[in-house]
Amino acid sequence: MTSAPTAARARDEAARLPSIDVLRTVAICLMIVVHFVENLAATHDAWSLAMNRWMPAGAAAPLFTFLAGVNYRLWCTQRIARGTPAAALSKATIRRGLFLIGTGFAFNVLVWLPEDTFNWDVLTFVGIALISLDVVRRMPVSAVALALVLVLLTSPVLRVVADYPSYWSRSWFDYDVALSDVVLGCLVVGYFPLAPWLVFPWAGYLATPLIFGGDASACGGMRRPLLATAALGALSAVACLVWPHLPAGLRIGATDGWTMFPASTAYILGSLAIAMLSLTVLHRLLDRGPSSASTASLVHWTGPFSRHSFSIYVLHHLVHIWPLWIAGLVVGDDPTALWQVAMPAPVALALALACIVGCIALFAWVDRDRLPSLEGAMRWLCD
Amino acid sequence: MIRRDAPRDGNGRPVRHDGSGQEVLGQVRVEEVQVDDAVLELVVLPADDADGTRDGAGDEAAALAWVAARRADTPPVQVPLYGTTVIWSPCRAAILAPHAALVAVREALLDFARCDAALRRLEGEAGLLLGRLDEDAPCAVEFDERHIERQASLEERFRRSVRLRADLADLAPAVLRPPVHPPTLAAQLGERLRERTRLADRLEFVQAKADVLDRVYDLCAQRVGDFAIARRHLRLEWVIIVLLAAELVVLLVEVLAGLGTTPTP
Repeated sequence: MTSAPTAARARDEAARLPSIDVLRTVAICLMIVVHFVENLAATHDAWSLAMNRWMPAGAAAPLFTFLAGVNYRLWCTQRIARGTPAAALSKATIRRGLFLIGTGFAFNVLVWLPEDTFNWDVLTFVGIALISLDVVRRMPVSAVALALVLVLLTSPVLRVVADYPSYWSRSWFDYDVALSDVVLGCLVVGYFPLAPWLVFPWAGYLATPLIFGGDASACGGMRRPLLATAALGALSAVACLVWPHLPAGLRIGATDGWTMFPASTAYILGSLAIAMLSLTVLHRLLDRGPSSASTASLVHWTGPFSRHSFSIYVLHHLVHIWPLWIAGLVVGDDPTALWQVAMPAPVALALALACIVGCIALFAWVDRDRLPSLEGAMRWLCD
Repeated sequence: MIRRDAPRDGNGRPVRHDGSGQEVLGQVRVEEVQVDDAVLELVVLPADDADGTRDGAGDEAAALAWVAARRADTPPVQVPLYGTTVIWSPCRAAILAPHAALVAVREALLDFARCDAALRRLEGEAGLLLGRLDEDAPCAVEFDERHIERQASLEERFRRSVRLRADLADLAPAVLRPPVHPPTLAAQLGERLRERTRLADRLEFVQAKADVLDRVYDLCAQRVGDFAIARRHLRLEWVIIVLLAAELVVLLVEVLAGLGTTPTP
């Protein structure tokens, strides 16, 4: 006999889309590798410096936030189909958003230490983005598209108005704990400010019907998403070409116009194109036959990663940042003494791979024994 | 109009009752006449045969059997008048009339058959639409995002309901036409057929059904239209809200940047 939770879990498993699981797993693995190498070894020696430069930094966050929008739309569609009232959907969304914001601040205090409480990292951003999606959900498509374009176009101007470079020293967001700096950090100058990062979840929300069509498990046509991808890629290339001719004040960051901090227009458009293309292709390849042996095996390995992405995000920071702080305190008085110089890049890379393997084992155990996780806590508290 | 030869016996004389009635009309042609959406098989038998071989009573019985054979569920309507007999069912009809009156009686019968076929089609259509009414009636009260996928089917049924009303309006003058004065044999036969088949009553019933459909689908169309207009307004409102929000953010950033205690790099 199948128990109710097991049956619910089996239903949940069946409803999962392998394309999203795989893409989110890729994003998380990239994120783990980049964070380990960058935080532990970026400036350890010349070889590490060169290796760090070749790391796919800036690839994971756009994928992750784009998928947040896609996932939210699919979640809403599923809930509405099950008869969940709109008010209940909003409540669950806002609670989830607040939970993420709260966890994000706790994470900032515990991992980045209290002086970085308001650095506006990705968790707080995703929390705010989730709440914004509850508004986006009610908006007509044309209004969302307009908002998206406005965010994209006004962001560079807002950075000039807010004097973005004055908040960044040595590639770190450096702010005073004052209301103006905290709010500006959230809006424009933090690590993941709303302008322009809101573009990713909103674009994900808008692109979902384009990629998945009416039925998420069916295979929609590829023409429209591919056209959108091509258009975004072309616009990104144009933005890169225009970059050197922009006024000096607008050219903040890299010389080629492709920067993550701050997220340049070319970077946003290009990352969106990559995210859309990846999801479209994976949807075409994997979601057509979710019950086939190869896809089932892929879901078996990527499912836990995707399901526990939130926990893994927190955990991988804990396992490499806390030892780094402790080691810093041991070798000197400053917890950040070993920041980016703790070890050579290959060792950091090996540790990242070990972390990935450890996460696979740990979350397989969590799933098997139904141990508590951050996602479970969020569902228990918010749904 | 299609004509085909009916079967005949070896001597070329009409075969009498054989059960189905088909062969009895041996030498007489069976016409297939398109009346509205249906096909009517029609046999015209002159009642005053010159060679005296025709058996009037036998022909009538055979014709009745032939007409009845096609649709056993609907008994044929038989109208005798001044030596002329018209036997009619929705699929088959027979006329037994003197030579002189044949053409006029045939025209009167076909005119009636067209009315009846059209009315039958409209009765069927009204029945079908009424069958979907329970499903659609809630949309007459409220139409929103939840019902959007039903918009196309509602529009289609609204169009059909309007078409039904138009067809009924088109048909009514033919069904309710006043008696011809001075009366003719053909006109009287037509009137009798209309009376016997209760065309006027049936028309009234279909009109009553169409009234119900009108009311519901008019309201549905109104709600769908209101919803479309509201959506357009909503879109405009959201665009204004988005623009105002963008302006507010720019203003806020400007003010905060002015207040900022920015650290020196």
